[in-house]
Amino acid sequence: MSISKHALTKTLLSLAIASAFSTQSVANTSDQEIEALWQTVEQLQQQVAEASEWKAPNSLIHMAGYADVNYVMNESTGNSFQVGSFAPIFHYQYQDWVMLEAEVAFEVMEDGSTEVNMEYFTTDFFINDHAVLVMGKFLSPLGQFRQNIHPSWINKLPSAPNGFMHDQAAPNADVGFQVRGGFKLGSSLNGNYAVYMGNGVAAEVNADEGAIEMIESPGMNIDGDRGKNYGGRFGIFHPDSKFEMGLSWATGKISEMETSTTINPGATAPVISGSTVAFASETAFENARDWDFIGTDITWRFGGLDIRAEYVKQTIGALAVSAAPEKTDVSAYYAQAAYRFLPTKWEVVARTSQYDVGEMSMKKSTAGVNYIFASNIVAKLAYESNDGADNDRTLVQFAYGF
Amino acid sequence: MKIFNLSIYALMATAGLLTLSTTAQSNEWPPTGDASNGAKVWSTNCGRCHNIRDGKELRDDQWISTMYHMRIRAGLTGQDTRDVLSFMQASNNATKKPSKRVSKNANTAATAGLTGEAIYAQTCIACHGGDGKGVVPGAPNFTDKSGRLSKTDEHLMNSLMNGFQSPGSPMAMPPKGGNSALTQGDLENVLKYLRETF
Repeated sequence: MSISKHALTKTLLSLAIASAFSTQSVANTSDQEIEALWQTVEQLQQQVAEASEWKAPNSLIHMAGYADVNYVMNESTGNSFQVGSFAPIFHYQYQDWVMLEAEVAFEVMEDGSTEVNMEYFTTDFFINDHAVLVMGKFLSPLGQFRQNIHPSWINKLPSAPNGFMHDQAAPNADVGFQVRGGFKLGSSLNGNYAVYMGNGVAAEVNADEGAIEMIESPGMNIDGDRGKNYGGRFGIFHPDSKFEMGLSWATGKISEMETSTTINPGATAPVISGSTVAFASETAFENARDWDFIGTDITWRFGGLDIRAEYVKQTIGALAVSAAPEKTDVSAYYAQAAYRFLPTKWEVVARTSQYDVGEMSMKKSTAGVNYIFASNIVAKLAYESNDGADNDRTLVQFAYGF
Repeated sequence: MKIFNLSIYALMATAGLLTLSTTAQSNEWPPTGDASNGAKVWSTNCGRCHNIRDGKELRDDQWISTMYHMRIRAGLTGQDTRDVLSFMQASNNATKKPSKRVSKNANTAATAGLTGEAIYAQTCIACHGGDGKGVVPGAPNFTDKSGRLSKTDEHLMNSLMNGFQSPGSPMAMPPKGGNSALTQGDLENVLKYLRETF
């Protein structure tokens, strides 16, 4: 609670006067003594004012973020200690007009090197009570997991659901702008929305397999297909029942990148080279394909029970000249239930998820137990059963949100 | 391409309308809000994504940027953001050591027009629920005969005045439930309402 400057000053003044009056009568107090007392009070006022400066400057600098460390027991690759990620989030705010936000993710690779990624960087203009203009590189507003649930101190399991990791079915980020905010729907419902426009995503085509392998959505700084993607999410939240449902939709164009173990002189798509030139080529423009996204998510809490589910699907249109000419769906879902044994700090979690890319399907089932030291500090133990390419694993994670 | 361009213009027009058609922001800085409504928004909204956070985790100034960040993340209105901010700032020095000094000037008069039931509905219900069983993790069950209300009036008044940390609760109840405008008389009325109702 903020201590009122005036209340504190008044208290100090009362104490000073009471102290003075307890030892001398009014009649015996000289003008010099009263003047000295006032000088003391003024000094105290100045000190109180200076001490309060940090509480309300026009410009605020703040750091938040999260980090996690892990121990992974893998049936085939053995057991390893791992640093998950360290992701500081910087906030620079000028009153309630503008905020700069940036999240930088540091990750330690298997060879010990460190990879740094700008997860997002936005300038946010608080237009009014119901709209914020967000410009820059932002987490995709489509769906919920990628934009709000993925930080390790929030995610109730040590790993992400299949299809909701980077470059899978749920878009990760985009570069462009969005307008988002909240509003009241009558007296019992809250609405929230986000509409955006961005450079979009890119499809990675495996020429050898003749199939689309993945959809990359790192938040690209160039629009190779020259077709902006746009869409958004609309959510309705009922506070009394703590139930929320969201619908997401987007459309636009998608660039195509081709990977191959052999040089194909007749390749119609730019061969992936790690260079942005490939995205910007005339071929990329001519080979732009239609792209559509739909998604839905729900959240419901009742006592210690927390239920959450999400479905996302991206559809890439057909392109006759492509190495993967067929229309392709990339979709994923997860359903998760967690129960906290109140008033203890123990929580159990179970989740099932599936990721489908064309004909390929990967399913994962995870069950775990958490100990919640504080609302932002969690220790997790989970067993993960993978039906796809990955092995079954036991995961231990310590996550801290700050 | 024509349809695409039209869609872009429609999207921008929507954003523009949203900008122009809604109420202006508060000119007050730092912002102040309604802590009572903030408690309700805090107890229902924060758990949409993460564990409910304790006001004591951050200083007053840190809560400002945190809440504006959360306004964007959670799709809160500006007013709800200011209300939660006021509640978190009111809650971050939640519990005080009980004072044995009795002020002769303590305001024992109830706030005009507010019954214990009305104050409970305004300030307490967000965490304790309409049925008194608690709606946030760690909030006590007032209907439990051997629970919190089995304590003496003196003990409970001390908790109401100075705040209280329930075992297992994600945060302490702030002094006066986070509503500093409440008087001792108001809290006596609330306690009377609790005794009669649960």
